[in-house]
Amino acid sequence: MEVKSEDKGGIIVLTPIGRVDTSTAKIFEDAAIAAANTNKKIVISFKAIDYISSAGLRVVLMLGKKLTAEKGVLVLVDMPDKIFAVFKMSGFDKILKIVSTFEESKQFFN
Amino acid sequence: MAVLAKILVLDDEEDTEDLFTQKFRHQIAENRYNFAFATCLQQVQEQLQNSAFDIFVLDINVDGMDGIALVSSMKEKYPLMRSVVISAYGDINTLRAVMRCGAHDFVIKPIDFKDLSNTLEKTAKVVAGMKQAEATNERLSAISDELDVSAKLQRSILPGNVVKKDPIDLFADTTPAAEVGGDFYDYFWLSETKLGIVMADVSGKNVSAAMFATIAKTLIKSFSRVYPSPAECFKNVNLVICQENVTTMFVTAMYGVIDIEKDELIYTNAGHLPIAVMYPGKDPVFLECDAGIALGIWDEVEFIDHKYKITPGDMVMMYTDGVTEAANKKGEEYDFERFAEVLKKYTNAEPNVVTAEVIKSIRIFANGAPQSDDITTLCVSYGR
Repeated sequence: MEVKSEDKGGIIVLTPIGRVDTSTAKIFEDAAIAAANTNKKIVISFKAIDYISSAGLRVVLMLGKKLTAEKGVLVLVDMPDKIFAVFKMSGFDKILKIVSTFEESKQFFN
Repeated sequence: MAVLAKILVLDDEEDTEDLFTQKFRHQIAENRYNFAFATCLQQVQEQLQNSAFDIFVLDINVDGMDGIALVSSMKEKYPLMRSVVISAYGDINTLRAVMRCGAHDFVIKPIDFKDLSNTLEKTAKVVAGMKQAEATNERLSAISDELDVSAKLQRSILPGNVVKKDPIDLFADTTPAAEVGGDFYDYFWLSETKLGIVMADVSGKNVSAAMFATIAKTLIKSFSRVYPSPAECFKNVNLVICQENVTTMFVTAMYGVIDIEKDELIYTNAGHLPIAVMYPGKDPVFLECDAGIALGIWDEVEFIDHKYKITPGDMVMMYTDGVTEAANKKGEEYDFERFAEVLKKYTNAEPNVVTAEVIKSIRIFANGAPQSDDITTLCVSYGR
């Protein structure tokens, strides 16, 4: 598993690639914290994720809470149906911002 | 069993002490409640320096005092103590503010002592449940250095795995992954005719997950006795976990109460997988329900009670994502379809047989791939 990080006009886009499970969640967490320490506008793209376990959900949640506390914003984009189903089933879609594309995420950063 | 609660009462009216001592004379005589009284803030502080209290009852309108600030500072300083506010009739805004600041409950003046008595009893049970969870937590912390402790912990919190009491036939099973996860199941009789069943999955692994699981399990069981509605139970468990939760751990859980008299299953969901129901010769169904949200994440969430009318012959199954997300070497998941297929084949079988067949089919599917998650199931057949 690796996490790609790029700056798109002042918004950091994190793209985890592969499986985010218990054994790889730490890599994701480190990348998320590193991003949040330099920028408060963060998008996570799920386009390259095959699987996310509860350990991975925890990282997303932790990042969301951290950014909210620091007046930042987290938006989740490019979610395959299967991954969205995981967010919906655990109820996380109620507290996280989830939209289809990076373009749509921009509305939250103004 | 009666709960012993220490209660501190703040009211500047002089007859309060006499009134309480009179109205609660039975509880005092039976040593269930131990009251101390204060008529001003200074006396409150003196009392709190001398001993710990479980419940703080206060008149919100004591002269020269900011009741709302007091409740919120008490909550901060004494996290295990619960405040019950007495307020004048119609003072809704103050009540709302004080409940938001963390008061546990309220009663309206003039005090209906029956209402107050119920409120105190409920609050005392909540505090007792929290203390128990806290004590468990401390006990666990003390032994958490032991080798292999998480596996031991996980095993130690599970009740037995079989119940046979007409019309209930229950079988539960858990297969831990290589790294110990945070799955747990539980069941408990709430009365002669009501059986509570719980399935849950804590995020994360090892000691921290096992400890979190233990706390969640203790809270659910304790609060199930205070709040007959599963949704109310989860709402209150969630509040406590959210308050204490600094690690952003969470637990998805499903909790149901089987009512034998009414042939009903009342259930509520906190971000967990849907309950499967099988009836001989029919396709299994997954019970529709609101997703709620995993416990420990958001303190304002409301949970919803759902009702399923049980037909004698039904079999109800709860499980964790170790079942549906079991993976083979290609990374494919076992998923709901395969799960439903096995259930369909064994709708006539007994709970332990169905469980064994599900696990066997997962093994065959995984074909030697190590599983990253625990596989936990709880199966109840009803009136067969």
